[in-house]
Amino acid sequence: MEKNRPNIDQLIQSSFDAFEPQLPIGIWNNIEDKLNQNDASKRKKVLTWSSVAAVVFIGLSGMFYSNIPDNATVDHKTGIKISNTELKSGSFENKLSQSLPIGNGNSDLDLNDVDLNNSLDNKDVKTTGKELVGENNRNITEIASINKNSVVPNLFDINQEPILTQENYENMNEANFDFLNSKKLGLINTKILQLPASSQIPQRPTKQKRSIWAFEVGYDQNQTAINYAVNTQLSKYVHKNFVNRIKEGEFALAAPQLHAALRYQFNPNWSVAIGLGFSQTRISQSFNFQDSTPVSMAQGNEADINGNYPIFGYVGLGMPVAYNGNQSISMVSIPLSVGYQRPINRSWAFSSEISMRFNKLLTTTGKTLDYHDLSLMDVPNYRSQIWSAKLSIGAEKRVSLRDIWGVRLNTQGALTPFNSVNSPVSNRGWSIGMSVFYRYSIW
Amino acid sequence: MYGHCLRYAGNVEEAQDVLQDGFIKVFEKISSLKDANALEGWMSRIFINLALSYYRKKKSGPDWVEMEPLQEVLSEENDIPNNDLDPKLVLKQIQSLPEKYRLVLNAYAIDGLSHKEIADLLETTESNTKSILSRARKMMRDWLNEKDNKK
Repeated sequence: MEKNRPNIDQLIQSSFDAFEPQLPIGIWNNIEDKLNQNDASKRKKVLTWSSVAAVVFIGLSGMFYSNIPDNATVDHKTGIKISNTELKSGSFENKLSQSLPIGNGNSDLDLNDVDLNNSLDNKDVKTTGKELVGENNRNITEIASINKNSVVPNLFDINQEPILTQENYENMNEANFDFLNSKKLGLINTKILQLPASSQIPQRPTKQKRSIWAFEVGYDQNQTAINYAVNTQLSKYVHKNFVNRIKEGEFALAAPQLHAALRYQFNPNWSVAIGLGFSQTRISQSFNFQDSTPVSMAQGNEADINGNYPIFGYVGLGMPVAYNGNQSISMVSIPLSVGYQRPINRSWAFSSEISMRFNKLLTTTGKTLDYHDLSLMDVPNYRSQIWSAKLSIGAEKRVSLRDIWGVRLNTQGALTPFNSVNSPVSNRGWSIGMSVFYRYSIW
Repeated sequence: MYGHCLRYAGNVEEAQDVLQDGFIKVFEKISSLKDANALEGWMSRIFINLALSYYRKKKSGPDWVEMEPLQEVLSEENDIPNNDLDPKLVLKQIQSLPEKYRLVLNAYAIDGLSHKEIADLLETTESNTKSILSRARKMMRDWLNEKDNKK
């Protein structure tokens, strides 16, 4: 602060020394409301960004996971390359024993003949000559190992059915396949195998491309119970018996949702889908009671969003309320989903999904209770557009190359409140339910 | 604090807006207050800063065109009526000053901010705030003299 100020300053300053203006009425309520709004806004921001972060995290994790190289390791004694996955699972020899014909192999392949799409050189092909013995004395001879990046593995069982996952066929080079066929060679992972002369040559599978687009239909059934929750900060506007009366009178019959979606499969594990859904929540209602009339005071108080003033007490018995009927809330939604599947065996896979849904409310019909005085009123006008989210985990079964059925447990809830901002009552939190779906691979 | 807001604002409605925003800021930042004894000064500073930035950001806010310096006549005792002033009248007179005069007079003469601080908050130059202050003082002095003469 600067010194030696002129007297005019001191005079003005001193005139305000004892000045204490009266605070405007309602200013504290305004400040409280605004602070509440700020808190709600912060929570909303946190929720929104958390959801975005979760989706991004899942997406990035999927990309990272699907790009982890399955490095082959080399046995120094034999020179055989075996992938880390095979080493861990021990599945390599089992596959051999189950898939290849019985008999002793001959290592008569001239590697000069090897011209696998001009992609192999000395680095790619390594002569090994190791005899592999699997279960049941099914012996074959491995004659060379191949750089994993040059030839993608493929394997058939004795019935010529593919036993490896579909992506093997997608990347199987046609020239390689024909060449191997003509030489009576088998190919498993990084190894070229000389099959016995009597062995049955595997035929080229008719279905070679993995489907990356699929059409999906699904049905969710969630139990919603009552639809209301009281905002504790604004509870003074709500009749003391509101929630109990609603609990007594309302019960959700069903909250079914049907949806159809187009799914894009990035890889065997990760997919995204966009679709269209329709849901209708039906609530049965039966009110029959008489309750105290609330006393509220307007002077010096702020009205809530519906013009009600805080309740200060209750007097005597109010009007009787009797009603039987149904309430329904319908909406269409656009779900955007990220799916993760992990095969358990040849048929079954763990299945999970996270969805964000944009919902548009179409109709709301029926009656409910006015939260302030418990009179019967039409269903309030909810927001017309809300966001919701759904998480689900379960299992899916592949019944053929094209058809998959699945069932999942789900939890879903609205991210945007149904009711207007600052309403003393709001929609309930998350619900739990069951989902079933059918997926058909298109191409 | 409401007194601060009334002095800086042109009318009661604007003062209430500043008061409301100021308290919200106080509640949001209260955790940053180290010494509870300094609460009043800390709050005053929040309200003053908010009031000045509030008017700076207003579209219809002050036009900080550089003003010609006024030859300030430092007040002498006999220039200024030495009687008790009704704060409501002084407040009314301050509120009637053009906005930039009101802001600078309040910040410097009553709340004790330096010209540098005021110039920073209002995004103008020190010489300009000095010039504005001189003119504001002259207006207040004229008003006091006129009021005294009427008596």
